Amino acid sequence: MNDETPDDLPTELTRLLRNTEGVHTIYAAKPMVPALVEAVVEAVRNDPVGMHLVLVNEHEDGTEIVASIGVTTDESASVVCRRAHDALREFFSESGRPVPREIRVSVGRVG
Amino acid sequence: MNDHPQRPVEADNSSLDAAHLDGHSIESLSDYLDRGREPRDPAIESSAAAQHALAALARLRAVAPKIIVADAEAEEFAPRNDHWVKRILDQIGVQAHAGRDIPISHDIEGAVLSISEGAIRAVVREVGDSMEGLLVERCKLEGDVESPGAPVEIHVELSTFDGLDLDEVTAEFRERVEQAVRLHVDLAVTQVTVRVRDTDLSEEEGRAK
Repeated sequence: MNDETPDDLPTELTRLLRNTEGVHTIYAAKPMVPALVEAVVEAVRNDPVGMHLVLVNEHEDGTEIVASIGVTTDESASVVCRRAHDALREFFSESGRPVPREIRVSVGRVG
Repeated sequence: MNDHPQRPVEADNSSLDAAHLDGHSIESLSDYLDRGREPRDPAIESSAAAQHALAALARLRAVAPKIIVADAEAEEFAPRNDHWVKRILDQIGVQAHAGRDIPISHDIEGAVLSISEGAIRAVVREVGDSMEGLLVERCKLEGDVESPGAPVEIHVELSTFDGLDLDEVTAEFRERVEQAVRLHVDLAVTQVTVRVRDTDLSEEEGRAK
């Protein structure tokens, strides 16, 4: 019997970004302290509890991905940011999923 | 002399800090630093603003003893210890917050890329950290950073110690800031002004000295 469950999409995307050259940290796309409060509320309500660093927002007209990254100082933060975006986009196109209508990547810290 | 120069004594900026630092205060981050960042706090470690503040606090702790010794030994330099430390601490929370989004261009539809104003301020701060005898107190980006190509001015306030040649050090700092910012983002930087706070010398006054 296999107790392992496949990673959910935000977790997969977080791992993908962590393995992207020049990215050293994935920050919470929304602050975690309010998110922790929300999680407690969700738990009390028996709603699914989940706190993710990368956000996947489903909208009527498509998916929106939101990520905040920390990058190394070795190369341009702009270059690394574009690389992170491209990695996310490729993840969807290569896995046969619909490409998100919007991929938002913000550099929160350099170094 | 204050035995704990890195600790806020009088100011109570907790609510202001929390608003800027993803719900954390300078006090709680200072305590976290005291504990050697153990046990690991995911809420702090996943906040870019908190990381900026931790870096600034760590730098302050590293240089404050040198500055206070310099103050005691040199009549010319007068950071006035507690007042100076309080001023720096008051700025850390304000400086660390993300601020505006500076766009990063990309020719793919649906790509919305940016770097935070706070990240650029931290780049400027780290330029100062890499130079002996400098501490960046404050950095401000003036101009419409959210519009590509719009002129932007960078204003920096520094503390110095170790009897530096202000002419030389401010020129080198300014050049390094321009290079560092240009490396990371397409900002049309038109001017970098440097003010050395503790000696109350403006860049021009420093050059004229």
